[in-house]
Amino acid sequence: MENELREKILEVKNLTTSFHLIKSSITAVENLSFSLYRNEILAVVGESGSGKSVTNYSIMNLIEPPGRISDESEIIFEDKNILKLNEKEMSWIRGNRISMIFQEPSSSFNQLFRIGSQIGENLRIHNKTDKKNALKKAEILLEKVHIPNPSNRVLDYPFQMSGGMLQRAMIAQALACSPDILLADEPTTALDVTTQAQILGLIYEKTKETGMSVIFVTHDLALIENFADRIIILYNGRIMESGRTEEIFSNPSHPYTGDLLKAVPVPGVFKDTDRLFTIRGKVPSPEDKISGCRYSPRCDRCFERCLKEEPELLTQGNKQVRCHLAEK
Amino acid sequence: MQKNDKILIVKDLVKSFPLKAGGFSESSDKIHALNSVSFSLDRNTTLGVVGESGCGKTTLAKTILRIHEPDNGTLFFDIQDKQIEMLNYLESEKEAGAQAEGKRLRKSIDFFSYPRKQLKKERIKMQYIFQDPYMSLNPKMEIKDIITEPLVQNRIIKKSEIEKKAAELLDIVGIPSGINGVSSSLSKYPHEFSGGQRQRISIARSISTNPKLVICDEPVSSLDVSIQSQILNLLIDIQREFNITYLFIAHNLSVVFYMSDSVAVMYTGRIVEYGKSREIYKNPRHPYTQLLMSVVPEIGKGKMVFKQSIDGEVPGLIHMPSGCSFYPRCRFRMDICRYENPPLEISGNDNHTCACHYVKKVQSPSSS
Amino acid sequence: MKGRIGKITGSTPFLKFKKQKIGVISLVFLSVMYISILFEGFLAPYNANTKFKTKSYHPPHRIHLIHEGKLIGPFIYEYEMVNPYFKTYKVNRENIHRIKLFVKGDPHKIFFLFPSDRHLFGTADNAPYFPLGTDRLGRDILSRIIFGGKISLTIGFVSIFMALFGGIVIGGLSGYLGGLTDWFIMRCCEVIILLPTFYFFLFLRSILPSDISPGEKFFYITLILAIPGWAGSARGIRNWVLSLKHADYVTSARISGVNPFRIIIRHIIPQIRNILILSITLSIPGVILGEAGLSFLNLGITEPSVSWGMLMSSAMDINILLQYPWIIYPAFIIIMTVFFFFSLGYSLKDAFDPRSKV
Repeated sequence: MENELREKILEVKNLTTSFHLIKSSITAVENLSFSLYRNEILAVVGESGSGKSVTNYSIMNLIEPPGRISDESEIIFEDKNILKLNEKEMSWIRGNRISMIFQEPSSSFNQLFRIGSQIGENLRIHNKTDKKNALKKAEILLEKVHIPNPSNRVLDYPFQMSGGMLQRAMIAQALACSPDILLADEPTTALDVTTQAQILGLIYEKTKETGMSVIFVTHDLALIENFADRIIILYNGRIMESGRTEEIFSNPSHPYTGDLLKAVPVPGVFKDTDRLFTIRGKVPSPEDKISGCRYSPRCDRCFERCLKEEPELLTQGNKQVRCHLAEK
Repeated sequence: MQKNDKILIVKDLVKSFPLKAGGFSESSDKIHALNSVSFSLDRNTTLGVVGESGCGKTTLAKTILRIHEPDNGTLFFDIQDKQIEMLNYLESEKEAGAQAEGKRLRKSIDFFSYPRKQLKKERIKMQYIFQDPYMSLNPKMEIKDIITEPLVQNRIIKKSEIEKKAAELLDIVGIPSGINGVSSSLSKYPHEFSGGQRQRISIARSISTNPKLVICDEPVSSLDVSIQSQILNLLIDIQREFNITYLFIAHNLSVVFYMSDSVAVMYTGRIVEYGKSREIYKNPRHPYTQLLMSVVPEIGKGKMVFKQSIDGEVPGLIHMPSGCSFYPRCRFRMDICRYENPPLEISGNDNHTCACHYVKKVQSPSSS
Repeated sequence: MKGRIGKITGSTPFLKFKKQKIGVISLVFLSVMYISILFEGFLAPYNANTKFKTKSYHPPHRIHLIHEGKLIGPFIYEYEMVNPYFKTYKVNRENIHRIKLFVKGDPHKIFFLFPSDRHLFGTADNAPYFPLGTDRLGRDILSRIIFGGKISLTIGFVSIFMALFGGIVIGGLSGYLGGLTDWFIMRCCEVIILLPTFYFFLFLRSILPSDISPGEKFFYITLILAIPGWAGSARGIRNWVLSLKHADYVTSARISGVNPFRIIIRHIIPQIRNILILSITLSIPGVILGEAGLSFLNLGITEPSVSWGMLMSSAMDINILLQYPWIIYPAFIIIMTVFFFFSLGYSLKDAFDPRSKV
C-alpha cells in the first residue's frame, strides 16, 4: 500500500495509560497502536474523556503519578522505545526532536520573560547557541510564522501580544530546533475563527516546508477535513476507526463516525426544513464501565453481540475499524 | 398572534466600560463595547448574533438584560406599537406639558428607564442561558432549588410546590426526575450530572418563569460534539411549545444559520450586516461576513481557504477609528472607508441591511 | 454535602482529613478540652478560689503505690511546712492519704445546672491533694487551669465569631456593592490592620472603665479582641465576593430577581465555607494568645475570674519562678492549645485543598 512505502517515524504499540486513584483506577487509553509517517498530518479526534490528550502526553512521556503507562506499552522513535529512556535522554528529545504546542498559549509562556528569550531558550539548551545568536534566531523564527515587525516583537512580554500572536510565537518556539514531530493539543480551540484559520494555515505550511510530522489532537471533525492526511477517531480510550481523511469523510465505516458527521449542522440547513440528527445518551467518562462495544449504549445499529463482546480493531485495506458490522 | 409583531426593539444602544486605574483616579480611556446598535426582533423567532470574541455580542446580551447599565439607548420589550407611537409623538412635541407626559410614558415603557421595582418584575420575562454549564449552576445547591429559585424568589410558587414543579420542568428538558425513586435527580447536586445534562438543567431553570425572551449565549460551544445536536433540538422544541423568542449568540456560523430566522453579524460593537438567515447564507454582502464564511470550518464545505488576506486582527476597542473599523483588514477598502463610518442601509431583499461603502457603491448604479 | 466525591483525586475532604494523624489527634484533644468546660467543677479537685491559707506555694504531690514494701494502691504522702517564710516543705513519710475516685468536696454545678459535690478524684480522708501544686494564696493550680479554660477557650471562639459576623456583613456588602463604598470600607480595614495589634488592645482596654462587673469585662475584652480580626476577615470575604460576584450562577440569580442578601447567603458564602472554617481555626490561637497577653499584664480578666493568661501573671517574677517552678504549668496548657489549633488548621487546609495529594 501507499503507507508501506513511506517512512515510519513514530510507532505507538499497545499504549495503555491509566490513573490510579485512592479508590479506583481509571484507564484513559487502552491498547492504542498506530504509526506516524514522515511528513504527514495525523489528526486524533475525540470528545472529552476519549483519551486524546493523554495520548499526546504519553508520547512526550509526561505522564505523572497517579498516572502510569503500562510496561507493555512501547513508543518507538528512531528504533528506541522512548518510554524506557531516562529523564535526561528524554529531555533531549523533548523540544528538540519532538515539540508540543498547547491549547492555551498565554499559560504556556512565562509572563515575566520576553518572548524572544523564551523562544531562544530551546536553542540555547539544545544547540548550545549563545544568547545573542539565540535572539537573532528567535527573530527569524517569528518572521517565519508571519509575525509582523519581528525585531520589535522579540522584546515583547507575553501579555503584550494577542492570543493569535502568542499561538504563532508558541509555534515558532516549537519549530526552533526543527523537530521531527510536532504534537499539537487543540491549538486553535481558544482562538477566534479567523485566527484559527490563520494558525491552521501556518501549521500546514510549516509541515510541507520542513518535512516534519504532526499529530493534531482536536474535538472538531470539521476543522480537519481539508487539513489532515489521516484521522484516528478515539472514543472512550479506544480507536474506533482510522484511515485516510477523504475516505473517512466520504465513507465512514463505524457508526460513531457516521453519527458524528450527521449530528453537526452543515451550512445551508435550516431548522424549518431539516431536523438535526441526535446521538442519544451522554459522552462516557473514562470511569464508566461499559461492557461490550464502548459505543453500544448510544448506537442505533447496536445488536445483541455488541453488548456482550467488544469488537477487535479490524484492518481493511487502508482502514481500521472496531465494529461487529464491519466484520461481515 | 399578529404577524410581524415585534417583541424586542433596541435603538441606538451604546455601552462603554471605563478603563479603571484604581481608587479615585480614573483614566479617560474607555472600551467602546457597543456603538449604536439598533435592531428589532419578531415574536417567536430566533435572531442569531455572530461575530468573533470582543465584537460585543455578550455585552449586547447582558446590556439588554441590564446586567450592565447602558450608556444610552432605548429598549422596548413586549410593548404595543400604539404606545411607542404615542411616545414618539409626545417627545417630538415642543410643548412643555407634552414633554413631561413623554417623560412619564418613557419610564413606564422603556426597559432601560424602568425603576428598580418594575425592572425586577419585567425582567423575569427574559432569561439567559450561559455558555458554560459548569459555571452557571451553583455547585452547592440541589437541582430542584436551582431550577425553581426564580419562581420561589418571586413568590410565583410556594415552597411546598418546589418538588412538583421541578419534576415537571426536568421532564420537559428530558431528564428523568424519578420523583419517588431513591436516585431522584431532584436532590442531586450539579456535579453529579454530565455537561449536556447540566445544560438541560440550565434550560429548565430558564424556562421556569414562562419567559417571552430567552438569550442563549453560546449554549452549545462548550459541549461535546455528539451532545450539541441534542441541545439544539431541545431548544427548538421548547421554542415551538412555549412560544419563546430567542436571541441566539454563537460564533459557529452553521449553528447560527441553522437555528436562526434572522442573523446579525457584529464587528467591533456594531452590527455590520443584518438579514434573513437564508438570505445572508446565500448572499453575504459585507466583506467581513464573507471572510467569516470562508474561514469557519464546516463539514462538506469543500476546500478551506488557509491563506487569504486576513492578516491583522480585531482592532482594540479603546480608540475607535473614525472610519469603518474593518478598514485595516478589508479586501475592498476605499478612501472613504477610512474617514466615514458606513451606516447600516438596506441593500437587498427582505430587509437585508449592510454597513459597507463598497457594497453600496457596487449596488447603487444597478438599483437606482 | 452528601455524596460529594472529589472527581479528580477520588477523595473527599473528610477522607483526606482522616488520614492526617496529627490533625485528628488535635481535634480529639481540643474536643476533650471544650467538653471538659462543662464538667469543670467535677474534674477539678477544688473550686478555683478555694484557698488553703497554710499551704501557699505547696509543691505538687507525687503519687506513690508502694508504702513500706507493701502495694496499697495510689496514695500520697503528706507534706509539712518547714519554713513558713520561704514556704519550704518536706515529705512526711508517716502520714499517707489514699486517692479515691468520686469523692465529696467543694459544691459545684455540672453543666452549670445540676448542683453536686462529687469530684472525679481526691483523697479518701479529704486531706488536701495538689497534683500541680498551689500558688501564693494556696490555691490548687490544676483546679485553676481547669476553671481558667472556660474563659480562655471560649473567648477565642466568641470573638472570632463576632469578628466573622462583622467580616461577612461588612466584607460581603463591600464586595457586592463595589464602587466608592467598597473603596472607603477597604481603606478603613487597612488602617485597622496596620495598627500594631497588641498596642491596639492595650489602648482599647485603657478606655474601658475599671469598675465593671466580671461579666461585662468578659464581654468587652471579647469585643476588643474581635476588632482587628473583623478587619482582616472583611478584606478576605470582600475579595471572595468580588471574584464570585460575576460567576454565571450569581448573574443568573440576579436576573431572576433574587435579592442581594440571599445572593450573598445562598450563592456566595457556601462556596467559601471551607475557607471560613480554615480561617476560624487559624485565628483562634491568636485570640487566645491576645487574651493571655492582656491578662498577663493584669489588663484582661481579673480576680475573681480565672483565665490562663492571668495564671501566668503570677509567674512574672524570675525569683519566685525559680523557687516554685510549678507555677509555670499554665503556660504549657496555652502552648498545647495553640499548637493543637494550628495543627488542626493546617490539616484542614490540606484536606480542603483539591490539589493536595494527602
